[in-house]
This record gives sequence, C-alpha cells and structure tokens, in this order.
Amino acid sequence: MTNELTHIMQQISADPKTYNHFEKQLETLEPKFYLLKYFILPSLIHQTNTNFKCFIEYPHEAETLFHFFLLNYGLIPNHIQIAPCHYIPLNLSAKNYISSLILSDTENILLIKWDPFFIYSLHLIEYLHQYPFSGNEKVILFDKGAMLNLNTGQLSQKNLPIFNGMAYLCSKREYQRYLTIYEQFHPFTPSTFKNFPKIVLRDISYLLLSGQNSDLNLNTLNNNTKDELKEFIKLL
Amino acid sequence: MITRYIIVSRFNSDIGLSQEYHITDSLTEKWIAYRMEIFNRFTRKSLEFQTNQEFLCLLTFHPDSTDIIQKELLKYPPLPSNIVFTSDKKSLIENYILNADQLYLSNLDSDDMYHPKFIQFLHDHKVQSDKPLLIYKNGYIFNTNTGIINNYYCQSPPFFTEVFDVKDYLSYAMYYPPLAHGYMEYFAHETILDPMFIVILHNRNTWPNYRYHVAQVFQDQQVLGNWQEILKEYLLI
Repeated sequence: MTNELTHIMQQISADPKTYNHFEKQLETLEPKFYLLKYFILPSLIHQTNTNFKCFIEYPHEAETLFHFFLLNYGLIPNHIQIAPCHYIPLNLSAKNYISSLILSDTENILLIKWDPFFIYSLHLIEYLHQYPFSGNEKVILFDKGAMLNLNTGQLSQKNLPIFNGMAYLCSKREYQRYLTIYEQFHPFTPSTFKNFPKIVLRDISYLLLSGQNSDLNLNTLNNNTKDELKEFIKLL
Repeated sequence: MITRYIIVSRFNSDIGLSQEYHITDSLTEKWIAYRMEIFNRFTRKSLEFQTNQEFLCLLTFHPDSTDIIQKELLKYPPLPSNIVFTSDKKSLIENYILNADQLYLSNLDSDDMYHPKFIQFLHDHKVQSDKPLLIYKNGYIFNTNTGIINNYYCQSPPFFTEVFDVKDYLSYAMYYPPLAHGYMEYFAHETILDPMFIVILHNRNTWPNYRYHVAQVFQDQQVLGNWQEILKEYLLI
C-alpha cells in the first residue's frame, strides 16, 4: 500500500468583521501568531520524519499580516506550505498537491486534522509511517492528551481521555469521488466521520494549548514541565 | 456482473434534516399517520407498479417511532416483499448487495413518485464511469388539491441515483452522512432529461414555498394539453 501523509490544518480564522481594520485584525491574530511561532511550526519542522506535506490555511483577508509574520519567522521548509484560503476549505496548493497524488501511483492518502490550538508528539509522522495500516481503517483517533495553560504555564496531567486528534485514511478513488465535494459542505471534524470504522491509537500524544497569553517564555517553565514538553517541542 | 437496485426513502429517520425545515413532529402519531396515507396513495403506487420489480425499496424510520409505524402499516394492505419499512437500513443493504458487483442507489422522498419505467430505465442505461451519479432534472409537479399537473425542472432535485462498485460502497460510501439533495449537483454527474418523476403537492409538504414557486398548479385550469395522458402514465387516474 502506497500511502502519502498530508496534514490539513484547519483555517486560522480571524473575526471577518475586523478584517478591514488593521489594528483589530492584528489584535485578533496576535495570539494565533504566537501559537504558530512557538508551537505549531516548531512541532511540524522538528518532526522526526519529515516525509509529509502540511498546508496551513489562513483567511486571505489577513494576507498582509501573514506576510509580515512569515518574513520575520525565517526559513520554512518546503514540506510546510502556508497559503491563503479563499472561501472553501483547502487552499489551492493543497488541492494541486492532492491532485498530483491522484495522478501518481498513490493508493491512499492520510489526512491529519491539525487544529491551530494543539500539537502532536514529534514522533507522530514517523509513527504513522511505520503503522501497519491494512487499508480498512478509516478514522484514526488519538485519545491521549495533555493541556498546557499558556496563562499560567501549568501542564495538566497527561492521558486526558478526550478525542481531539484525528486522521482519516482515504483511498484515491474515495477522495476523487466524495471527499473533495464533502469537505466543501462538511468541515473535517470527528462528527463528520462518526459512523466510520475507527481505531484509537494510544502511542501518540497531543498537547492542547489553552489560554491567550502571548508572553509565556517556555524557557522559564519549571524543569518538570520542560521535561514533559520535550515530547512535543524542541526547547532551547 | 451482478447489479443490485435499491431505492432509499427517508420516511422520518432523519430528524436533523426535518428540523432544518422546522418539522418537529415527525415522530408523532399525527404526522406519521398523515404521511403514511400520502405514501400509500401515491409513492407506493409508483413502486408497486414499476414494470421491472427487480429492486428493493427501503423506507427508513426513526427507531423511536417503531410502534406507531407498525400500527399505521396495519391500516393498509401488506406491502410486497421488496418494499420495506426499516430502522436498520445498513444491515438490509449489506445483505442485499452481498456477492453483487455494482449497486444503483436511488433517492426518493416518501411522498413523491418515480415513473413506472424508472427501474427498467436503470437496467437499460449505460452509466459513464466518470459520472457515477444520475440526476433526474425533469419531471412533473402535481397538486393533489387542485388536480393540476405541470412540467417541473429542478437543478438538483431529490431524484437521483448513485452508482457504486459494491466494494467502494462497503468500504467508504455507506458511512458518509447524507447530504441534502441541493448539494448533489456538485458531484460529477450525468443529467437525465427524460421526465422521470412527479413531485406530489399535498397539504404539508416539507418545502413550504411551492405556492410561489409553481403558482400555476394552484390555479383552476390545467396547464398541459396532455395532462390526462401523464396522469394515466403515473396511474394517478
């Protein structure tokens, strides 16, 4: 079975009513830029296996702000693409990439839901590459999580029994016939796929990021917390 | 190649969809009795008199209304074995398509009618592999109160047939939540222009705007010269 891993990240949204006001837009997006800079991008860049594609979508109205953010961020590797999304989920580069997979000999595509407020373990991609999928699994849930409160720097106990992480194994035929259309009308969420056959993987953890603080310095966290976070991010 | 033909009609199984149309009473005896009467007067005829009976029709109901459905069904002549009210569509379909290669899955609202030669049309029609969805855009609309019938065109109507390889249906398609019919036109499809259905207007249609949308069937004169011919064709007179 030839699998390709594709991360589809949900839109990084800002309140549409504020799009026309630069300062308000910045205010809305600032916490999201913080998450992108210190959590999401490092988590994607430092995956132990980078054989995957990630498409990060943002509202096209916020294009200028994202340009500023990306200019300041520095080099982003090719397997991570950040592009505006025009009205429909999946930006054009994601669509083009998946179309190229469909034309190739890829049989299955693994779509990973990666919300802007949580990150997976740095071993996620390697783990999924090694996992012996039979092709009959459809929804893959990750039910082992922890929560980092960005306001207090507190890390909750790990193994929180909540389903937030998911991936969807999709055959090429299915993607062509169904998913391209469905994703326009149904967001890619666990409830969309509630009737599908599921497996739960407990070897991969995710970290939920709560709170709005943009000033938390990760290097000032206590040593226990820093140790726990090593699974998710590379601290300096 | 073994092909199976199934018509699925959501009688009152889809509460979420009903509520979108502000129907909150689809589990009550009053609603079920009314719709059962409409089904038996119209939709049932269109199924029982299909010229080709090689199909299964499943009318899906919500499990909470099982007792009322069974009680209402007893008021009418028994249904033929290929027309089944069920709250367990999944297992009946799985069983029916066992060992088959291809599945034609058609949608029908439980108060509407297909042409009596609809199933025969499916048997005869050669489906294009890149357009595995047939949408029937032309038909008629019949007002049961005025007796007036007129042509009816809909861009993305609730009359369509999805064609699947059985293995595709079992591996993914059966799990997808049904989309409202208005979205079907976005899928790769073949438009069937031959008139293939009748929308039945009665006192409690789900969509309330027909009075403005097709005003002519609410007046007092027939619109079509061949109206009798059409009603006869659909066994309505």
